[in-house]
Amino acid sequence: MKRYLGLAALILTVAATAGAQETSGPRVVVPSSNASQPRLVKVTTVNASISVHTHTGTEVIVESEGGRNRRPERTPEGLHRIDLPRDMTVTQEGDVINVKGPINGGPISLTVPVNVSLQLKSVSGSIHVDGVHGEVDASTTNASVEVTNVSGTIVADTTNGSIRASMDQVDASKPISFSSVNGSIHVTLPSTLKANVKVRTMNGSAWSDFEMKMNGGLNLPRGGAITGTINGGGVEASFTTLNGRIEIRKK
Amino acid sequence: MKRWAIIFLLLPTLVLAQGRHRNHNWSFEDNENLRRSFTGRKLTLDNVSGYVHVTAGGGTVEVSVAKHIEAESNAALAQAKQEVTLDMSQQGDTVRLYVDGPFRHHGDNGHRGYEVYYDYDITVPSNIELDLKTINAGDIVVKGTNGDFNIHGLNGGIEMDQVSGSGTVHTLNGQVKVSFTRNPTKATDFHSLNGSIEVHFQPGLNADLKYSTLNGGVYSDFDVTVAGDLSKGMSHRNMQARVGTGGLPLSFDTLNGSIKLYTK
Repeated sequence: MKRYLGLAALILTVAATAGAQETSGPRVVVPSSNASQPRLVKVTTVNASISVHTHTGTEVIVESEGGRNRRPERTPEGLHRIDLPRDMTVTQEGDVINVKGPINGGPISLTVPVNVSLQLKSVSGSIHVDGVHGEVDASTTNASVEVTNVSGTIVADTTNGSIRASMDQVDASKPISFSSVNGSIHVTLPSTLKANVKVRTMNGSAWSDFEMKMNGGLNLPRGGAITGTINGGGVEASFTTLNGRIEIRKK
Repeated sequence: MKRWAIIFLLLPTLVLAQGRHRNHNWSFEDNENLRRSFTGRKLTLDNVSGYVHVTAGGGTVEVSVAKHIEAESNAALAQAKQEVTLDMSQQGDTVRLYVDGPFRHHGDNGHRGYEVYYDYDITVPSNIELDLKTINAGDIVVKGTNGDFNIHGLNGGIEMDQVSGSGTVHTLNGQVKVSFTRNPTKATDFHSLNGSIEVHFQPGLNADLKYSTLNGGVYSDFDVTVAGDLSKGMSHRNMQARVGTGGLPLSFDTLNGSIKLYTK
């Protein structure tokens, strides 16, 4: 019995140490606002990747471990950092929360309520969003975008990266758009979706398991847009890449 | 081995010699020791050059001052004795120590051919309120007091050991190090410009923190929730955070140094 107690104590200590390491960066907690409409979180960064997850709470939590100038060996023993990385700011104006990322910072992690809209911009960092119900606008240049389990609308674009998206529900009043230049596009949409579809690829191919009614048949010029309707038409849905494959799947 | 022993024997002598000739190679000097005794509840000390060491103990204010003059000539030495004075007085409950001299007056060019230092070793009742100021050539060290404090240095560090009370600790070119036996109950500020700040609180700290540094990190041994007025933007130079249930305003500010906060 004593031996087990010893073992349990050891496990607890290890867990505590692991926990302490996880919170090496500071968490900025933006408390819930009493505004009726959902909040908008904007993130702008250059080299940092952005990842967004949801929680059942009402706060928006911003975390970043900071960049290269934050080597862990510089941290005094028994302490952890509680200041934001340099060049990083978190501002709130009404329903809008603005996060400016550190230029050379480590990944930025957001934990948000489910009902929130996002405007995420990076240049060399990837973007990952999961579980949000709202408007997701994700834009980067040299990295991929992955948006999963979203209800609402998605506008995603990148230049040198792929796009992966899956939607549980699509807001019928707002267009969805997925665009890349040198990357592939993989999108999974609800099978009941009603949409007017525009698909364009130059040096790739486009595939789908939806019943698409094509406008004007399939005799299209190379590089031109294929337009058609799914389930009789509805929301505008656009899929564009120059050098990549497009796959549109039924959920 | 023997060589090391000699070096170690020499070290204190070097330090002492440095202590006496602090700035100049002026060969004319004068030393004087002053002692005064007061009964007061507040100590106001406005010094210019020299250290200030205050230790709690006893029921009276016992002031011991070492005055040291360095001058380039006999005439300058005589002039220093005439121009620079230490006023020690008591008004009601307040003991006032004030160094006066030409450097206090606006438009003084600073070239006098002498330098006058006052080094203070003061014992005080532990519940005394402190208002201490010194500018050059010395640190401020406070030990064991539990009254409120207002401590200003400029070119020296500030150390407060085993104190309680609330107030301000402020220097420009020096470190700030404070350890509390009881956490402050009123707003308390810690400020340096070119120095680090280290504060040891007691466990169970409940406070709303503001902290800022440019070239250094902010570290704590407790978890904080970074939250507050976000309308101006939370950033490296403007952080607000709550520890425990909050309430007590504490602020920590430096430019070139780190901030370390302990509660264990």
